[in-house]
Amino acid sequence: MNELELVKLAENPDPRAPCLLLLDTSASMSGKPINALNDGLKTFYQDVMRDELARRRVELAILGFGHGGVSLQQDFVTVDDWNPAELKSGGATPMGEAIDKGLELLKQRKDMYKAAGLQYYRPWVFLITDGEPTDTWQEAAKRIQEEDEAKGLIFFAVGVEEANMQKLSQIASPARPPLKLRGLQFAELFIWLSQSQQRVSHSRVGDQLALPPIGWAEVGT
Amino acid sequence: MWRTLAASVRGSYHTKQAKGNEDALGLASTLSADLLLIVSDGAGSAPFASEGSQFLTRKALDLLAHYEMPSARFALECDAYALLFKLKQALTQFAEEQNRVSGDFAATFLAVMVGELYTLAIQVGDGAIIALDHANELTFLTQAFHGDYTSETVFLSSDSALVQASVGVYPSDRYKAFALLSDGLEPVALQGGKPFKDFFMPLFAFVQSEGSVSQKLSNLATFLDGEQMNARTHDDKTLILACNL
Repeated sequence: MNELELVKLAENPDPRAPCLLLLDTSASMSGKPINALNDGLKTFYQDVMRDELARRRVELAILGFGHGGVSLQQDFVTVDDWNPAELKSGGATPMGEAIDKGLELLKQRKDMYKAAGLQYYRPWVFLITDGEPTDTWQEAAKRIQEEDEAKGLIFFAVGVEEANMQKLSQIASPARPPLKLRGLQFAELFIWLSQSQQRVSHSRVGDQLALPPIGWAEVGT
Repeated sequence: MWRTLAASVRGSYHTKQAKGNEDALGLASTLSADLLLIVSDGAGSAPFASEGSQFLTRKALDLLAHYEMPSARFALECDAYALLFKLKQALTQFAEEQNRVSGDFAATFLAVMVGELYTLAIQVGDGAIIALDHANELTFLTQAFHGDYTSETVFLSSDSALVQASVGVYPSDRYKAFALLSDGLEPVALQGGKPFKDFFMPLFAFVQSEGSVSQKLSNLATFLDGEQMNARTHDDKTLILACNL
């Protein structure tokens, strides 16, 4: 009889890696861009699903801004339980409101983790736009930058095609300037996001997390 | 008389990434300690993590080989911080010799030294040092450092390493067994933040069981690399067990 057979392994819930996507679904995204974005989301899903651990740990939420105003397309769900739905485009670009709602959503999720005794990684917020805000955004930008600085989250801003990069650089965290997507390479972007989230959900970080190289952004923006 | 067993196996995620085992361990008896146990876990984000953990383990064994444990508790505590300072300095020098910074070799550091009077436990970073007392209760000898988020910890190369270090000094007759583990084992060895008895007690019994040591070492490594284990933890796993018979 081997005593090792008597060893029981503790059961602990997986720590969660929240990832919030703030996606521009305004009228200008119609046609190719929104289709590429939808395909990108599916690629993200497939790539995370290949990682046994990440699929249980990465939790995704999607807030669209544009079609139907600011709308919660997907509340936080582990990728395991996620069923990517098609995003539709239309309307204006209420980016400020989307950032505000996103911060609120994230706060609720953190409260839920704490109440449930779940450990969690620093949340990622990923904003993608092809234009500029059509609402007031200054206060919202200040809030998300402060949250980022206080290590409450990690904020990435990505501009697509005709995006107003100058305005986006005022919205993004000073430490992390906005990136310009090369063409409509959403697939590359979402594979990078998936790989990064897999690293986050596997890793242990002292000071800085080593992210995969960014191959989807234009150089010099 | 102490009986020890130890094993360190590569995590499934590292296997997938074609990375080596970044944990290191050391066992020795020294001039004034019956038992010296060391575990160091290289940071996954550091480019030379395994070199870092190996260097710290080797250097600590070196520095402690001829160290005389003082008979005063306070002096022992001071010596623990002096040791960490020396290790940190040595790591910085080691890095500079290779035109690198010490953060490139980031690793945690856990050590237990059992002397005649006192047992010293030192921890920088995550992982755990656990002891079994004569009433068969399990307890942490040091506090792991966990940041705001589950992924964050401190390494010996970190600026705040000595501030965040946890040092404990205990009467040596209080404990009859010790376990040191790297953070890869935390998900299966701790439950609700406490040492999980059903995990440790059979392991201590295993250490004390009869049989060939080489067979037991191989069994322990197989156990750490088992399917059930890898379903719950993906990281490198290192475990040192010591029991006083």
